[in-house]
Amino acid sequence: MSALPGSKPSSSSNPSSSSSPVSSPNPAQPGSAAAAAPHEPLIIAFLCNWCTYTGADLAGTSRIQYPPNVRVIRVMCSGAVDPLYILRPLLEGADGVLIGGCHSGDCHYVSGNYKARRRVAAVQSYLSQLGLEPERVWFRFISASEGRLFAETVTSMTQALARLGPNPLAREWMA
Amino acid sequence: MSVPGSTVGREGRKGRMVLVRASEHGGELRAVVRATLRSGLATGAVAPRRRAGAIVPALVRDPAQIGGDAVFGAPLMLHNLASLLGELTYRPAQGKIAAVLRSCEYRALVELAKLKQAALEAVLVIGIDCLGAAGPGAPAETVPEQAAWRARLAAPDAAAQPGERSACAICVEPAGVSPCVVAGLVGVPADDGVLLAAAEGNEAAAILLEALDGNGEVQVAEAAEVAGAREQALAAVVAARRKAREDTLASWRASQGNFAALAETLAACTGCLNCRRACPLCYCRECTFETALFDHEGQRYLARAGRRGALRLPSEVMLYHLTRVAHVGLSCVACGMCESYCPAGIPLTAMFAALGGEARKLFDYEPGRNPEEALPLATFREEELAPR
Repeated sequence: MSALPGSKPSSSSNPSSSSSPVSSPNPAQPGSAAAAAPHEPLIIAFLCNWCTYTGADLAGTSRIQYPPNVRVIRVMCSGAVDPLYILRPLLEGADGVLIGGCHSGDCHYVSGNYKARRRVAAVQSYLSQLGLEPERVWFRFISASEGRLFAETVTSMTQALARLGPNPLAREWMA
Repeated sequence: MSVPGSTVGREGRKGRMVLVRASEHGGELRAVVRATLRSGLATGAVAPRRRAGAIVPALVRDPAQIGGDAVFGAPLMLHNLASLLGELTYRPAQGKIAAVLRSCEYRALVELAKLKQAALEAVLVIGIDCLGAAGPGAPAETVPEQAAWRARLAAPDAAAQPGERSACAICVEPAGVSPCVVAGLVGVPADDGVLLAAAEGNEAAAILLEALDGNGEVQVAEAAEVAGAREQALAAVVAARRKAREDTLASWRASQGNFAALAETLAACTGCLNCRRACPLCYCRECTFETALFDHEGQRYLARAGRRGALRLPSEVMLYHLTRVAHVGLSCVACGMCESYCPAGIPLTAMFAALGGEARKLFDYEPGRNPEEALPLATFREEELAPR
């Protein structure tokens, strides 16, 4: 994790002004002249209502800066994230999927986070067998009180995805 | 009854073993299934009946209804019987249903029971050896007469037969598996009858063998010699098939290990969802892909096509197949029914075997191996994987 607490990502604007549409923030084609500009990754995040979603809220109310590259979807438990939810954004060209769940032993529904962990591992296996970097899918335990950790996670994931480059499926017409 | 240690099959412990011989070919298994009904071990039995170009499973209660058109274990597979047994048993009924199951059908039944969509204890499983079967659409003559297919089983050639399904060509579990009794055919000359192996300590199996012993329909003899011949013949088939399977998976990984190649393989898919319906384990009672979830407004389609320049139609084909892999890949028993019912002939068996097989290594899971083992995605250990 290269991000430091409170680090100010170079590409970030004010989070409150990040309500851009779902389309990828980077329309540039690789190989074109515009490819010199750094890739702005798009992250779809599924956050547990009881922990990470509240943690993200805390990051906001605490005015902690983090890159505006993430689109948050609240779910009732990380264990409610079907593989379909992970696959669809990636096939549609999102650069990464972040799943936020409760820490070990803290799941509101006892074991949803542990089951999500297995499910994510299986999906990562399928992705890597098909040549897509499994590092595009992140599963993290972030509690409701860890607003700073949420901001750091989004920061370092944005940086990691920028290094990986655009999701190649974004231009695969049959994906 | 479903204690794994007592399963007859790959690593199972065998109890009594006998040769059962009838006066006509195929009469042995008919007698066995009749005996399950007559002895009260089962209240119903699934008997596949031969019709022109098809084999139609019937739920039979009257033993007299198991006649010459009942063909158990015939080399034509139009159903994975586990699907039908799930339908018959997942809600309680009186007594057990007897069924003669290939290994892939038994393993599918075990997985279905873990999904709580079948009751393993409500099925009296008679496992049967199978070297492969033709699929739907096979010409009627693909299914030879009983004497001919017994001859092939007696002197097995591991190579796939013409018309045989690709799943069978890479099947490494040809031996029947059952917690009760297995009918051995591989390496057993048809004239010697059928080798019946009872699971050690299984009460139903003991009752069944006793019922056969004195009922006059079949002759029962000791089987030591034939049993050894069967083990040898099976080992040779498994070795050859294992090689065929490894070759198939290696070539799949070499040619399909990226999304672009997989998209080409799926190019002929029309999204008919036959594979989902034929699959014994596709467990959603209502499939997302049969709902209106992916019916978008025209503008949405245009926007999606605009983002990537062009959009394949129908548009969720890759998502559909990968979702199926993610849902049932770990439990897939490689019965190949998905591929058998694919009108476009897409090689789905190899895709599931490759993708699911690799992911199973994460959890040391083998579908159908042990009914007591939890589904890998329905259980967990606190200290595993990441994050911790």
